[in-house]
Amino acid sequence: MLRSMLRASLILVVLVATHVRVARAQPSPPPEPPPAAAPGGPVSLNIQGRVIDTLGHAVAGATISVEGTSLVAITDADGRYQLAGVPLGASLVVDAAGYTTGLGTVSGAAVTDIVLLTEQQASEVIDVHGDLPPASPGAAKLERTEMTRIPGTGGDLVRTLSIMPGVVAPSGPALGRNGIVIRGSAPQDSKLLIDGFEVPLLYHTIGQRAIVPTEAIDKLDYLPGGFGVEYGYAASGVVALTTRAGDDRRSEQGEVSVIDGGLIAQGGAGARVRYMVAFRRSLIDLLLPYVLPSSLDLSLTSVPRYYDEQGRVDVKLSPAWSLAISTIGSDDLLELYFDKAENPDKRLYSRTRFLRLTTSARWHDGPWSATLATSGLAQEIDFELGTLQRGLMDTLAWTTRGELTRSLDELAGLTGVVWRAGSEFVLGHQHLTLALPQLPREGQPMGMFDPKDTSTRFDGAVWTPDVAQWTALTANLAPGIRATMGVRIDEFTRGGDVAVQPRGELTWQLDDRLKLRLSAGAYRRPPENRDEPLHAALEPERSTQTIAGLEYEPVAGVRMQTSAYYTDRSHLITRDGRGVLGNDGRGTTYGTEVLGTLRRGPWFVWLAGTLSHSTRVDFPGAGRRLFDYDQPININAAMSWKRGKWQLGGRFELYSGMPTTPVLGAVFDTNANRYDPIYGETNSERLPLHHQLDVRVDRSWTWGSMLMTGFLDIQNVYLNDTVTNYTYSYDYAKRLAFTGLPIIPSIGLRGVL
Amino acid sequence: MRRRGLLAAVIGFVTTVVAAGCVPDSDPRWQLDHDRVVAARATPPHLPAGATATIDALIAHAGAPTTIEPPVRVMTSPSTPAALAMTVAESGAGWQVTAPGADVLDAVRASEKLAADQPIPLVLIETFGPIPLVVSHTIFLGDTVSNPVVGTVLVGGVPRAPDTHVVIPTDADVTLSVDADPAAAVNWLTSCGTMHDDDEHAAFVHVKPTDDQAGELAVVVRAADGGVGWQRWTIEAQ
Repeated sequence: MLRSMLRASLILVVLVATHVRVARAQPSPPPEPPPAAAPGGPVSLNIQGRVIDTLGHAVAGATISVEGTSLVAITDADGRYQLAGVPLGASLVVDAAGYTTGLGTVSGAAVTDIVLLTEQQASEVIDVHGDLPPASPGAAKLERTEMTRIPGTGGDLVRTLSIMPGVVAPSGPALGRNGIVIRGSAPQDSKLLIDGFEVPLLYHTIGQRAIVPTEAIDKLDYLPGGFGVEYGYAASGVVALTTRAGDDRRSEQGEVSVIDGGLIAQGGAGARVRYMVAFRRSLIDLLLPYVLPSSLDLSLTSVPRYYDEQGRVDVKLSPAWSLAISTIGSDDLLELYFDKAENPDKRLYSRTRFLRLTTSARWHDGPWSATLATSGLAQEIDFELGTLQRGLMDTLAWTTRGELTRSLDELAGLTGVVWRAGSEFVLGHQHLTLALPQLPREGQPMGMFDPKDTSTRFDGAVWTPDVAQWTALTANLAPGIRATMGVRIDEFTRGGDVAVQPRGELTWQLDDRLKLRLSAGAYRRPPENRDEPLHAALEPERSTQTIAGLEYEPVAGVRMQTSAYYTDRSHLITRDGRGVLGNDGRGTTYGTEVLGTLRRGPWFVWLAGTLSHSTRVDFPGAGRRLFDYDQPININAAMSWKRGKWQLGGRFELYSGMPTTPVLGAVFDTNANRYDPIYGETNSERLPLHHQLDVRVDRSWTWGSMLMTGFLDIQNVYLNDTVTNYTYSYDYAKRLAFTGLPIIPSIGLRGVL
Repeated sequence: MRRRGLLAAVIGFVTTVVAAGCVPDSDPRWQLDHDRVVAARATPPHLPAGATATIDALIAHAGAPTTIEPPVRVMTSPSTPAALAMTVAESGAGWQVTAPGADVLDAVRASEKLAADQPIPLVLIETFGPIPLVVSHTIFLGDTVSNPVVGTVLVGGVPRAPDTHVVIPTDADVTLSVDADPAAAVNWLTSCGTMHDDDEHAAFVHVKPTDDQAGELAVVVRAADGGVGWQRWTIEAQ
């Protein structure tokens, strides 16, 4: 019944979801006189007009074309243009470098000013890239404007990540996953960073909405592996978000949808200060109680409610010094009762909130540069189920990091030398109050839920002081060959572990179009996941990554890259037959990724493919089994075409279903009144193959002085009923399949003043 | 900060809970119209040294009334201490469990690191037929405890004696309550209508006009110490 409710509500939400966004820039363009009266009948006019930006400044060099004709004009230094023989009522399409396409309508000889938005103002998505060139083999680059052209992502960070090669597509209900699965690793093996420091979650608890709106993001670095010595505490990949510094010009904008609503303001204060503040609140919790059927045996207290906030101030202190202060926070609340009488025994409560404040100073003087940053985190996770089960975790953490860089034209026969050295100190304090069932490890099925099981109990505090140092040297070894060698040393003080992690990368420009990249390194993840902090004797999990990649650009606008990787994992934390945690596990992951992009004229094509295989051995002598997130095949193909006011696109995705452990039968425990399942071989079955086609149409027009954009985005157009998970009846006699949503049409509307 | 792991675990846990809530559409646990063991009972559930217990179970059947049956086979679980392996035997009176002498029990307590006055759990694997239904059943050796007495049961506010015929109104919420130890686990089951709050001391049943208008009602009370008791009625909606 609850499943039906969730499905119905989600479908309802996406069906009626209409996004309305209004942006206002200051100062506004001056009002224009009304256009001259048009003569009657189908006539041609000699028209003139002006193209300006949102501040009223002229846009020179813009191309004005008359739709349906070959008429074209270019604006002069004052942004003015003239055209002869233009049909009355014709549409004008304006293109200019650095701006989005503008539109106008010929209603008389004097055409109303056409206002262009900068790409930054207009974009509702983010720039996603790994560096230019990518920082490691396999990293990907996707421009901000291209993001609007990929159907099915909706411009949201979370769905954007899912098209990257190497990212395991989510399977299962949207609820229940946080983090990102990269190259056959567990979510906790990869880091999520915002402004250089880790955050506890990437998206809100329900709905897969990123905790940072796209308007507040400057860039996103996706490093699937082989990352440098400056990153630690991760054994797989890194996803690093950087918040936006704010424009020089003041602007405010608001956006509201059925899901949430928010405000963002940015601008400058004097010549040296820029700011950006943003705030967002969910609205679905206000609407859901009105759309749920009254027959549901459910009481919704808050389903779900979330806030998030971002703020950033950048100050140019001097030619050598700059300062950035940023904050990010979110608050997710979910509370419901599994009956209308609101029986405390049937209450589910979950609240996750955090606030991070970061200060970063940068110094640059000739060949020297340095960064000093400090960041504080306050976090609370509170979970209650019924009157017996509870998990409360209060965390306070403080991190200080410094890095020094020296550039040299030549050193000991090497050219283009860059030397870096850094240090980081993390002091964390965590107070835990736990009364929960034993939390299953990777590879262990959750089993039947028992509301009275509180076998994992703890009430106390854990301190985790960690120290890290790193250094790296980059230089040209020969013409076309550039290498980086470095080492990172982590001291995980609580467990007394010192980890020396050498890492290196080699780039070889084979010819003008072909580049070879090799990368290898050692990585560690400290034992701080789930209930690992309660076991001081645990050691960090280890991985050794080896990656080789090729990048090929046969012609301008066409780029292909491929990489092959092998990751060896050891000291994986597993639970033995007695329930004791130890570092007895091993694992391997290998695979290959291909990414091809085409950007030519009105066409944009994205083709990403991944083949991988990831296995684990839980303890010496045990058999090798598939990893929980093993996904051998993952293909994403997207294509879009843009012309004038229209944009059409489609995306096809295909990926393997996740492994699953079958239930062979069950034994009834009469004392506990519970069926205990008898499991088959771990992960010996797999969910069915998933495939889906999404299409999207965008159309722009002007409405008064407002530039409107409407879109229709349809996901899963041919109604593929993807199985995302299996669940069982209380006695395990019947297996039921969770299926994904059927067709999901979404209509959006955006207006920009 | 690197502690999103517990968050992920909690979220995963919530998912499981919600998922569990999604399943009853197909096979509610209060439904008596299935082939299953509702509860197995040892009488007594705790045996002092040298005492003997008999075993039976309340069994539900698809399309037929419940029955109370002895097991067709009982054995100790593989993890049972060797000294207790011979406690189970079949005789003319059916399968029985006989606690060994006090000296054997003391030796087992010592080997299992149990306190001197602590009862020794003995896990039995019981099979009920003719459709083989397998049950894991823990009884205790070395002390004395009786099965709980199921107190007064009210159906629609009226006391109902067990094994009687009860008539309830159609298309109405009919309250059910049982006088039992608050610490005991209660389960209401029916093959007529829909049961609500089936794991509460106070529940209610609702029979729609489209449901079967006759069937059975049962309540099972499980004490925290392993004892079990039940009552059942035939039920008819009018």
